[in-house]
Amino acid sequence: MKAIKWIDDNFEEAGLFILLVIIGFTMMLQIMMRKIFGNPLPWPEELCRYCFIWSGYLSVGYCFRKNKVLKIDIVTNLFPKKVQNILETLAEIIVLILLVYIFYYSLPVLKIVSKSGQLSPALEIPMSAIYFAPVFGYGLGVLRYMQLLYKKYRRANQ
Amino acid sequence: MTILILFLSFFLLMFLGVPLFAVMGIAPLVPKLINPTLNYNMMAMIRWGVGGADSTPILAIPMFILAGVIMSRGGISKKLFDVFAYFIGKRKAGLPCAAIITALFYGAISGSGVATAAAVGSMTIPLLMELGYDGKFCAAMVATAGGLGVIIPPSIPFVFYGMMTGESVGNMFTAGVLPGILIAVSLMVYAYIYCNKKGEDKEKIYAMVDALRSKGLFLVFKESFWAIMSPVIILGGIYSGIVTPTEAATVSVFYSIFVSVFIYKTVEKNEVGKLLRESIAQYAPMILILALAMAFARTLTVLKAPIIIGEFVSAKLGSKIVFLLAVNLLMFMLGMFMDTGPAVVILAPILAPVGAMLGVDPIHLGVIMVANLAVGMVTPPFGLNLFISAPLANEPVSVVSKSVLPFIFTFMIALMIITFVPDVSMLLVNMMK
Repeated sequence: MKAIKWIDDNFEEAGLFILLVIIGFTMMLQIMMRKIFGNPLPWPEELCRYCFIWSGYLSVGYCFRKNKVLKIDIVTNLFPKKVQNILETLAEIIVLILLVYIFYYSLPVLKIVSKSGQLSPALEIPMSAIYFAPVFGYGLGVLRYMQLLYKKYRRANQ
Repeated sequence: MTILILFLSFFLLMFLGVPLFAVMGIAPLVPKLINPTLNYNMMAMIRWGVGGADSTPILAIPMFILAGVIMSRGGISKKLFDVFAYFIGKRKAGLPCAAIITALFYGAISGSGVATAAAVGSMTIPLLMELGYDGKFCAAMVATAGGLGVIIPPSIPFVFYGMMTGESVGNMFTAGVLPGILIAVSLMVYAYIYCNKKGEDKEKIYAMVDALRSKGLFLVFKESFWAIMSPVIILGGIYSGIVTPTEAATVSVFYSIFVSVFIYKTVEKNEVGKLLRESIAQYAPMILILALAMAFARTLTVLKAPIIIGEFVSAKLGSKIVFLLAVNLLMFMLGMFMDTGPAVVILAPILAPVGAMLGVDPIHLGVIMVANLAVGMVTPPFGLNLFISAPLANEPVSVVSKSVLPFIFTFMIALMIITFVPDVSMLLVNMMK
C-alpha cells in the first residue's frame, strides 16, 4: 500500500528527476570530451534529446498530478460563479476528450514507426523507443487527469 | 476562412480558461473538423510534436532553469551588489542604481525575470529599506529591474523563440545585450530623478558604504569573484564560440552547484535534490505546452497562415510601424497575465513569419516581443513580479502598483526606442557576423 502511494505521488517526478540528471551529466561529459580530450562522442547529444522528449511527455502526467497546468483565467474570473463552474466543467470535458484523442492516435504512429524498423542515427536504438513516449505520456495523462477530476468532484460532494 | 476559424477557436478557447496545452492541440483540429480535406491530421501532429522537441538548443531550458534555482539559493546576488555598492554607493541614487546593476548582472546569470526579481529583491529590498529608502519605491524598482532577466542573455524566452522560429539562439542572446543595458539605464535615470526629489539618508548610506570600503577592494572583490565569474563563464563562453548556449547552460549548472555548495557553502549537499525537484516544477508546465505548440506551428505553416495573415495585415494595417505597434500592444497585454516563456511559444510562430513578410527582422521582433512581456510582468494588477517584490517590502501589491507606474513609463520609452531603432538589437548581431 505504501509503495503504491509512493508511486502515485512520485512516479512522474522521479522519472523527470532521473532524466534531468542524465541530461546534465551526459552534456557535461560531452563538453569535457570535446574541450579537454578533443574527441567528442557521437551519441551524447542524441541521448539528451531523447531524454528531453521523454521529459516532455512525462510532464503531462506530472502536471496533472501536481495540478500545475497553465491557463488564463482572468477573463473567466469576471463571470458569475455559476458561469465559471459551467465553463470549467466544459474545459475539463474538452481536455479529457483531447487527451484520449491524442492517446488513440499515438498508437498507430507508434505502430508505423516500429514497423519501419528505423534506428536512431547515433545510438542505433529503435525509433519506436522514442515514439513510445507520446503513447506512454498521454496514456498516463488520461489516467492522471481522471484522477484529478475524481479527487476534485469527490471533494466537492463532501 | 480556415485560418480565421483556427484563430477564432484559438483565442476563444484560451480566454474561456481551457488549459493552454489543450488550446494548442484543439485549435488546429477545429478547422479540420469542418473541412476534412485539409492536408494534416492528429497523427501528423503527433509526429511534429516529437520531431520538434528533438532539438539540442532546447536542452538549454531545463539547464538554465536549474542553474537559476541553485544560484538564487546560493546568495550570489548579495556578492554582486557589494561590488557595485563599493564603487557607486556614495553617489546620488547610488545604492538604488547598484540594485538595478545587480539585476542587470544577475540577468546575465539567470534566464528568468521572476527569478531575477526574487533573487535580487530578497537581498536588496530589506537592505535599502534599512537605509531609509521607501519600501514602495524599492519593491517597484526591483520588480521592474527583474524584467532584465529575460532580456539580458541568457534568456529562457529567447531559447523558446529560437526554437519556435528557427533563429539561432546565440544570435538572440547577442541581440538582447544592448536593449537590456538601455532599459537598465532608463530605470536608473528615473531612480536618480526620484532620489533627487525625495532626498536620501546620507548618514546611514555613508556608514554602510564605509563599512564595505573598510574591508578593502581586494577582500570585497575576492568574496564576489566567484559570483562575477559566472556571467563571465556563461556569456564569455557563448560569444567566444567556445561553447554553445546549451553547453554554457550545462556548465553553469555544475558551476553554480560547485560555488554554492563548496565555496559560499550557502547550499547543503543534501539540498541539491530538492533544488532539482524545484526546477522540474518550474519547467514541466512549460514543456507540457511545447510538443503541441510545435505541432500547432507546423499546422500554421501547412495552412500557409503566415502568408495569408501577412497579406491581410499589410492590406489592413498598411505599414510596418502599425504592425510593430500592434505587436507591442498585444505582447504587453499578454505579458500581464502570462509568463514570458509560454507566451513566446504560443505567439512566435504566428508573429515572426508575418513580421518577416513586412520586413521586420525576426531577431529584432523577438527582442520586441520579450521586452514587452517583461513590462507586462510588472504591470498592475496582474504583473507577476509585483507579487514577488511587494511582500519583500511588506507592502500590499495595490500600493506598490502605484509606485511602479513611473518605472513602467520609463521602460516604455526604452521599449519604443528598441522597437523603432532596429540597430539597438541588430548592431551587435551584425558585428558578430
